[in-house]
Amino acid sequence: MLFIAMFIAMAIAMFFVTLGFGVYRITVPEAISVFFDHITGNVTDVRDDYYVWDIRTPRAIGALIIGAGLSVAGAIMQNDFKNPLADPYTMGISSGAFLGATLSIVFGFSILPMFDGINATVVNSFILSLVPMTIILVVTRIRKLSPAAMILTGIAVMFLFSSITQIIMVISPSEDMASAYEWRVGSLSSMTWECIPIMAAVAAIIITILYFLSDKLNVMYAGDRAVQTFGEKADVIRIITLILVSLLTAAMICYTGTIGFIGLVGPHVARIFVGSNNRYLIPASAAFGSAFVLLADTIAKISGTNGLPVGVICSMIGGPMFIWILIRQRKSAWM
Amino acid sequence: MNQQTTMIISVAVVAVVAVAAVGFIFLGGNDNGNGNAPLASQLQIRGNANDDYTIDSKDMTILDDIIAGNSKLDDHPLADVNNDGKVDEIDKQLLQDLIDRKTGTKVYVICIDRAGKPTTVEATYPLRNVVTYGTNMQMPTLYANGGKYLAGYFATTYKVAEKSIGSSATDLGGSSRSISDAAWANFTKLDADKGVGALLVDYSGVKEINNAREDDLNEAKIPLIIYASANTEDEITTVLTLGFLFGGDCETMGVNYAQESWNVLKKIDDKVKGLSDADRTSYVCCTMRIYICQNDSTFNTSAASAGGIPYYKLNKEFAEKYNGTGSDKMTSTEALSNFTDIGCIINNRSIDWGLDAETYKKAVVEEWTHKNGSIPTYKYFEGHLDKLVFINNLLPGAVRVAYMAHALYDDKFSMEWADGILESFIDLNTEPLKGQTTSTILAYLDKSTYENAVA
Repeated sequence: MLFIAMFIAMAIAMFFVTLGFGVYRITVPEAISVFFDHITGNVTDVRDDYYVWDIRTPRAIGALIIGAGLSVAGAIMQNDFKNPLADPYTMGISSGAFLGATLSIVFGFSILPMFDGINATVVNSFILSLVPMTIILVVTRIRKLSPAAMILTGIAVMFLFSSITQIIMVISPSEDMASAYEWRVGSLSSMTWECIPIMAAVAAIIITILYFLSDKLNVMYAGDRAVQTFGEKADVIRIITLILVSLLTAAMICYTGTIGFIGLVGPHVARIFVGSNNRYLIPASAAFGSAFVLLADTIAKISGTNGLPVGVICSMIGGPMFIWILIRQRKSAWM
Repeated sequence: MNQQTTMIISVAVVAVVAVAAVGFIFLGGNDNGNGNAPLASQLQIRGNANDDYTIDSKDMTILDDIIAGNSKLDDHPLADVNNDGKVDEIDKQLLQDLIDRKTGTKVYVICIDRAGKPTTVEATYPLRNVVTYGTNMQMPTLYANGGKYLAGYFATTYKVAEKSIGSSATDLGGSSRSISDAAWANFTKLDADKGVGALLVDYSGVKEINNAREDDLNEAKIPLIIYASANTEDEITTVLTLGFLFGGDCETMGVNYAQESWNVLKKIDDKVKGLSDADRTSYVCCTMRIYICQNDSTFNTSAASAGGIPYYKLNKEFAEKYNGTGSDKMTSTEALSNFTDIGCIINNRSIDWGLDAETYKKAVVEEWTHKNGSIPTYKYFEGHLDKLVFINNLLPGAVRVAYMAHALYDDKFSMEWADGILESFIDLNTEPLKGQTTSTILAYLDKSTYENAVA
């Protein structure tokens, strides 16, 4: 519990710190003051209020939600498959979302015809991000697959989707390719207050459900056969939780693009501190993921001419951190 | 005479020559006496020995003088018609053919190469079966009324503005900003089927012509003519030169277009030349809605023709941040947040015309609120909305500069005056503007235009 509190404190601290970072010049204490002034209805400087409340606050909340959502999604996938490499990337969810976004950006195609422009991108990426998991589940229903075979199926689907996306990008004009690639990297710069309600609602509901499934998730560590001795069905738990994390991931990345590494690194770091009990691992992963993405986005905002995509910074921090974890990891931390 | 004295004299001579040159351009060094401004755009064709706007017997006189030893080639570099480093009877024969506008004459066009350096390219007069690439090259071609001579194009994004492209011209695929391998294969096939007279490329798109593609052009002996036509003065020169190369009515149109353009630039210059830097309005240029034009970009130099002073000259932080010749995407809505003293933001946008009242309003709202990702354009300019204007980049360069002058100095250049400039270009009968009025073209858009549209 101490570590969970520590991660939550880190996330809260990073939330306020990031309000003071960006191109617009304002110090962290001033930004925090502007934030509370807005909440109390005491706005004194309209420009400060605009940049802190209208621009930076939704972006910080978005970072917090996405960090929590993707990190928890990674934790659940690693748990379900008993595989430390499982995350939304390796299961093909991100490649499905990217294909959906590319179809919209390059061809203006919308799966649901009533949407166009950026809305088509959001809808396409949401729907197609669910396809890889659907394929995995259908194949599993037809021919009972082991967790390892399910991961391999996910990887196969990921490559299939990626190859289709690459074909589209090869034939697409360079400016469309640049837009699609920008989406692929993942950025929080387009985060507005309008994006927050759906993301927050989906994240809150699904993470809460998963938290209440902690005990069932815990028995999955014992292996599929042993799960039966607890009166549970491993396949059912796996299918339900995978559907939930697919929805969770899709609802996050359809607004921001695919932000990598957090789904992989977040749960591993949390596991080192709180162990593998999902009752602690889920909140710890959520809190650490939030703090991590907030930190990465703070760095992203002050990098380059006017900021860099957060996905780039996540990978730049996440890569070395993952190697460090592999070097430092005790076997007991996993399993 | 010591070294210091020599330097002082040299500087004085250079200063005198520079002042004389400016005087020549703006005070009527070759004023034709009818109130028109001198045509400061020189025809970019070898043989134009006197460096004016056409090729005629005056050029032959200079060639005769050089051959007779009364004049030097160094003083008239364009007298070397075939670009072989000397002036002789061969040059005279070529020049005579050009003066006679003889079909099939070899013509040596001065343009820039892929590295942006001046070069000379051999083509055949009159130019036919050309292929254009880049909006900033396609529009000058059409303004010279050369649409009927297009054998192909890589993109037509603006159905009305580009409607004068001949129906027999082949759509090669590609887009306004890229030439795919498939589109290039279509281009080489077009050359094999019909023969391509020249590939006309705007410098902003030159990266699409890589080494392999340049080799293809050399092998097929297709001239590659490149101009940096986003800059207004270069655009005028481009229309003038292309008009000459197409010949006939196009040559007349090129000269008229250049004349009308220089009249506008002179009027603006007359009114703003007395302003000190401190009194000039500062500006930042943008393109593609949310890309900030870097300091030495062609859009920035065009706005200087409207009498403004680029903001980077006044703000060191901005100058360092946006150093370069291209444009930089605003990856954050905070990008301009610290530059509160910008005088005017000029957003260069290409908007097709042929609008009715309803589509005009829609275009206004679309420009102001277009979503970049999930963020509307105007959000990037919060705090500068009263200074933000959109100017239609498809318009002739001088018309754009007229609207820029209005944006910068509305007390000196009224909206009615700028609209009048547009009308005068419509009256020229240049193909892209035929049938249009100031009501069917969204030429200029500011906050009040947007508020009126949504009211």
